[in-house]
Amino acid sequence: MNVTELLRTLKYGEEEIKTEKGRVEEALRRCKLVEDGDIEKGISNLKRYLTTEAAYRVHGIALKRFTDMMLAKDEGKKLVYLIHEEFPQIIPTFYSAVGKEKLVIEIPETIMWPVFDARCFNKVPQILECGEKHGMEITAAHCPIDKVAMGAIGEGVIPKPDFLTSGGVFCDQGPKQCEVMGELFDIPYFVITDSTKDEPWGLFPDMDEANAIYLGESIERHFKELGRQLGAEVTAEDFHKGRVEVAKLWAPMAEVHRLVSEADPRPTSANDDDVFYWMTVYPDWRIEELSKAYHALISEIRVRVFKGEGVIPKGAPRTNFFCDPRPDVVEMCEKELGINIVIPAAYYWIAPFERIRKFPKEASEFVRFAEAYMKRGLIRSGAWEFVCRAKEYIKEFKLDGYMSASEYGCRPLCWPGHWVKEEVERELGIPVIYFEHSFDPRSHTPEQLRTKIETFASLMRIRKRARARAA
Amino acid sequence: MQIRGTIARKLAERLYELEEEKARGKKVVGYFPSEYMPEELVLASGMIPVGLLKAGEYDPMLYSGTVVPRWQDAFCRAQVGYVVMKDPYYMLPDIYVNVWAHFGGRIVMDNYARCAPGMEMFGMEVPHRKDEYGLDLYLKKLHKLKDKLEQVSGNRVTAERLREAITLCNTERELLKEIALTRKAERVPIRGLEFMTLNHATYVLDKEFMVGFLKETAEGLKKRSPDEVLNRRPRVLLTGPTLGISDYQVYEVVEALGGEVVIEQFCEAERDYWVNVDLDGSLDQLMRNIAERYFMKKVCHLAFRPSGERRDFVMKLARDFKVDGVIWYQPMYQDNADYDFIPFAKKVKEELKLPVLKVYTEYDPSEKAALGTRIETFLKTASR
Repeated sequence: MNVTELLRTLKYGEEEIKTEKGRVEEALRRCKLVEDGDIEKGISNLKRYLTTEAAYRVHGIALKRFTDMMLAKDEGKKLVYLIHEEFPQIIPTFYSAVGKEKLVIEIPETIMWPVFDARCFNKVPQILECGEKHGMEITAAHCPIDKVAMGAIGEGVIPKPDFLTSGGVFCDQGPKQCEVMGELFDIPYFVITDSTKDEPWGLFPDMDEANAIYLGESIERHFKELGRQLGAEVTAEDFHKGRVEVAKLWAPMAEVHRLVSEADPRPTSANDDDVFYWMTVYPDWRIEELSKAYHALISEIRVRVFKGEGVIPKGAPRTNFFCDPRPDVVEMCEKELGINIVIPAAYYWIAPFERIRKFPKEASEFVRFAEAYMKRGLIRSGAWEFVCRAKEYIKEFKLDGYMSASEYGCRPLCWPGHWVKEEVERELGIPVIYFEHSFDPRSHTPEQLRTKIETFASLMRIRKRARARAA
Repeated sequence: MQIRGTIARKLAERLYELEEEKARGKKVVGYFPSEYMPEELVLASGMIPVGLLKAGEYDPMLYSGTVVPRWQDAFCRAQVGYVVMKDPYYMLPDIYVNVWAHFGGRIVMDNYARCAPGMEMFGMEVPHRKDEYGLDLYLKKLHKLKDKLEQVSGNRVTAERLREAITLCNTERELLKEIALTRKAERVPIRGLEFMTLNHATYVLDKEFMVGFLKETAEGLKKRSPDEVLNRRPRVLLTGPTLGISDYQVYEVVEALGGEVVIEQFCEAERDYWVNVDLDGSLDQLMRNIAERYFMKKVCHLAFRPSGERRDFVMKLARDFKVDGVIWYQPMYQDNADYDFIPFAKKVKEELKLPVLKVYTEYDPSEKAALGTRIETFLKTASR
């Protein structure tokens, strides 16, 4: 397997290629998914979907993380999987406490996604089928991300870790999945947060202080316990460092949002930006490298804006997607339907109300963080939180229409579309479309969504023209 | 003993009884049957608790589709459906209380809030770890619930009233336990469906009536001679996340095929009767006793992290009641249950060497034919 060309495509430096080539080859060989011919197909897919040099670079970072995960145990490191994401500060905190020389802590399903989805090797269906072999039935609308984790560990696509952990604030399936895999594959596991979210309709972005305190104290307690189990002490200082590291990525992300949303035509494909956001929400210790990639992206966007270049026609209707869109769906929206998916997913954006805090600076680092995290509002939330955030998001990015695309394999994300549509249309007067979508590429083709999105695009154009005439 | 007939008659009359009680100035508390909402608090505040746990009908599923997509827990969708179609039971309460342990409960709560906007609401999520911190938060939230109930009813919850309510609920649980334990016998004196009818009736019917009827039933069972009871085989344990009232198709099929459900364990919509609330102490202590019983002592919901305790409890029931097979019955799209089934089935097969059958429901009448075939095959396997 010759990966040199792939590494060049992904902007590895020549020195890096010399040192990393063997490791990457070994990692890809071990996962048993990639054969010789797949390298060329992977490069071809990357070229099909990505329009910026910087986006290749971020895919390169994903491949580095995947390689580290595959070889961690051979390289004498402890391997820990954080199942089903949770908040981004976890991984940098544990790197700070334990050290990256001794530990690889990774979200396997999340890091496998940019390497194996349609943007690169296009092997997600095979991994999903592995998950189905281990009891995650195909008809039960299970989370594709969970299925990837189950299948990859169960079928030996990725190594069995020394330890499994998960949260449960973002989604209550994470801890369950962690427990199930721990029991099934005989891996020690420990869940690192617990939370309750029961604010009544209309209260958000305010919150019940007891819930924030419980979550904050739970993070503190369980981080320390997991640290003990990994043979390290996790302090408030480590957590603070984790928070600072993650914050370094939010500023460039906000700048990308600003540039993309102010530009007309849209200068890059949403497929370029999406992988950046994905890596920002789930970073590891490569914060500096990711920061540099961000700055490269910002430069490319500025140049294109200056030249007036774009990937869709000028004046295209502005919308979103709600959950992460599949690359083939983005391609259809941009190239064929000519619509501008300004910022694909609402949870990659910090709303103004998130900056208003209740807990004073004297409160514990963990409780203040819990408040901030709960203000994100898109975590195992009620419908009001989704409505509230959608309204802010539409105003911020001046959207012509709101696409509430629900991942039907996700219980929290697939349900509130009806109420979002009703509230947004009533209050903001823009059209809202609510449709089902899945990360699972076997569930539907972009063509199956075309009729809905095409009609919606026409509606947005008609309304936009009417508004312009009225003005 | 006419258990099912008597209960069916009382259930048919209950709505009118409740309307009459309301006309006399009594207030009704409707609640989601998560088994974390202590009825003791409702009774002590002078109101009438009514569990809202209807299921087994397809119409509400269709109605729920107007506000909730198909890909949600079918039991919770049914609850939303009853609200959307303005089912009289669901429109009757003066306040709706939902104490949920998994995400589906939240969906019911939000849709109730939107579809019955005039109704008072109280919602709380249960922490998911059995430890002192979770207990502390649960207790704090119970105090808020008590305050809300006091506000709606206009009555203070005193230690004396609460103790009376606890005594009544303890008696009801004791009687259910006494009746359940008779099912350990080789010849089971009460049919599975009869027991579940009694269990479900405790959510809806008047407590005093239920305690009297359960006493009568327990006495009646003692008088039954073993010769009067058929030795039905195989013996089945029925488990899963939720079993709504009227969702009895598995009982009906198993019994029609000559088998018997001798014990069941569901996290929701089955009254837990294994543990009681301590009666000692002041009002604060009684509140704590309630929190300890519901949160710490009772077997946990399968959405807890971890929830191995529940799997072990069900395994113990399977041993104690000498079952020949296990049926896992669940509403479609309840992920926590789906995931929990995976290690549970492995454990049952490996440690108890028993066959396990998993069946889903969306309360569609057309399911019954396929269910019959699957259960018939399963019972043959379990009989070997």
